[in-house]
Amino acid sequence: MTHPIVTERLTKHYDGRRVVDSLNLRVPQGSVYGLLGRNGAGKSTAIKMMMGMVRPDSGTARLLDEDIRELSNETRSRIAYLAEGHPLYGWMSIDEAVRFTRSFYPRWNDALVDQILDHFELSRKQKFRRLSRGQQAQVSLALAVAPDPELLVLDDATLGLDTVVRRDFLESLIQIIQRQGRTILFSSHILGDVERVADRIGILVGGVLRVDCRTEQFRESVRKLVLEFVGAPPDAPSVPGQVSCRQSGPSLELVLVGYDDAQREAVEALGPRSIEVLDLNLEDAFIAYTRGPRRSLPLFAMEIEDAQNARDQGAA
Amino acid sequence: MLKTLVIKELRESAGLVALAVLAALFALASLTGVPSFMMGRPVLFPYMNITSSLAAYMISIIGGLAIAIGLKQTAWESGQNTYYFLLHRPVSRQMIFGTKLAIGLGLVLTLGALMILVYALWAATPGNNAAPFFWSMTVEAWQRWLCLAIVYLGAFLSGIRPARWFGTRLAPLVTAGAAAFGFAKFPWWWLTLAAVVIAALALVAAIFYYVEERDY
Repeated sequence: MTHPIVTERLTKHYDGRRVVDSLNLRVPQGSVYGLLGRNGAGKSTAIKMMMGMVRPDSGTARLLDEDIRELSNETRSRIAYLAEGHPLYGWMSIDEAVRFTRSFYPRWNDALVDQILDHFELSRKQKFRRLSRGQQAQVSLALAVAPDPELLVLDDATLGLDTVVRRDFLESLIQIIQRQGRTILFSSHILGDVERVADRIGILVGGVLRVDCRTEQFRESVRKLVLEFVGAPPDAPSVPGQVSCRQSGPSLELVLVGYDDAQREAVEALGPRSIEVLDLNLEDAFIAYTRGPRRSLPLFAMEIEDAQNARDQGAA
Repeated sequence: MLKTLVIKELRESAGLVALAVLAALFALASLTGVPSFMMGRPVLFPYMNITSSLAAYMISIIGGLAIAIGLKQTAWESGQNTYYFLLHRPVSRQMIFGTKLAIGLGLVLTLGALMILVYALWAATPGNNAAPFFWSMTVEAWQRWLCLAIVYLGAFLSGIRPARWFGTRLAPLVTAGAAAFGFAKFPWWWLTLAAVVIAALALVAAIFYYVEERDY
């Protein structure tokens, strides 16, 4: 098994609207994969389909080499899932929640639970409903990792947490899971978090996976070019790999995916007086990329093994 | 793990059951002429027909409990988003929802049966009521008791079945309630039993269909 998560043409409609569109995703073993997208891009629906909480209209999802529709209990016990908002029973104390969850798993690391609860200074007697959101996230984390999962899926697990708690949460998560070579898929709105922990990212735009590559590769490939013209800049220029174009006086700002020789020639053919190439951080690159018109966004350069996936995205 | 699921369901229903038990005690006190501090005076000549007044109490108290438990086990869980936690445990959905149904039905039918039995035993004890007692006098109450199962399953189906607004959401409950009302009026107990069994099987089949097919 080289890819613990594989989806093929996963599609879901709500009220006639295609929320997830032919999602082909392959998450390599041992990677931390950040699934990004603006609100309503389809991240949560995609994750819920992968976890069997939502039935796809078409397509398949395989987790740890098993079809999600026929996932055995043994395989499910090797997968941890933290849903958005960390849902747990408010009437349970932490101790009750631990005992409840433990009863389902053949493998359970009580020492690890105690270690995490101690680290976050949580008492087992505290009622879940009386905990802050950050503390609820910490309890959920302890319950998720105690069965020693091979795959951890988090749906916006840091939503609503303050900066310190969020960072503490993610660092604990990475320390606990990644040191054992486990695979993590997480969705997030916080690009800084993604940049720090994810070695691969996928970006959903309008339900279509437009980007699926290493984090560095994406960040380095999305470039902003500022072109200065003597007179008025040309109207609606077309450059290969162009994501967006904005005119500001005699300047033209182009956001491009990649910047190879062909693109350079196309830009120079516009006749600018000067060309400034700006590197973007992940957040700026994400914003620049996802602000572009959805349907005409260039599919992002994938690695060779995923080239077929790239061609199939959004092909339903 | 089954024990854990049972304890969870019992724990979550405990508040509703406690309220129903309290209401049932007041109802029985009123029916049996025990001085009721709610009413401030004893009720004299509590009944003419053992079933009519008892059934009214049972339907309102245990019927209400059936609806409340059925919805709490489903719609409440959905509203709290705890399905995402519960359904990801390595156990089949049939077992999770089968446990819910067994506990819910068990509580509703046990409390209903206790109400009938307590009242019937009181009526059967010499010196309590100046009238003869025959167990056959309780048949009508048992018919209504059977129909409570349909009400509970209707409420459960209403909670688990996806719907756009509360009117269509409550459709299974309203239908089940109407069916239960009709079944309870059948002249023969065995006909009521047969109708309840068939309706219950249909409702359980629908419940398990939605358990597997719906989006959470």
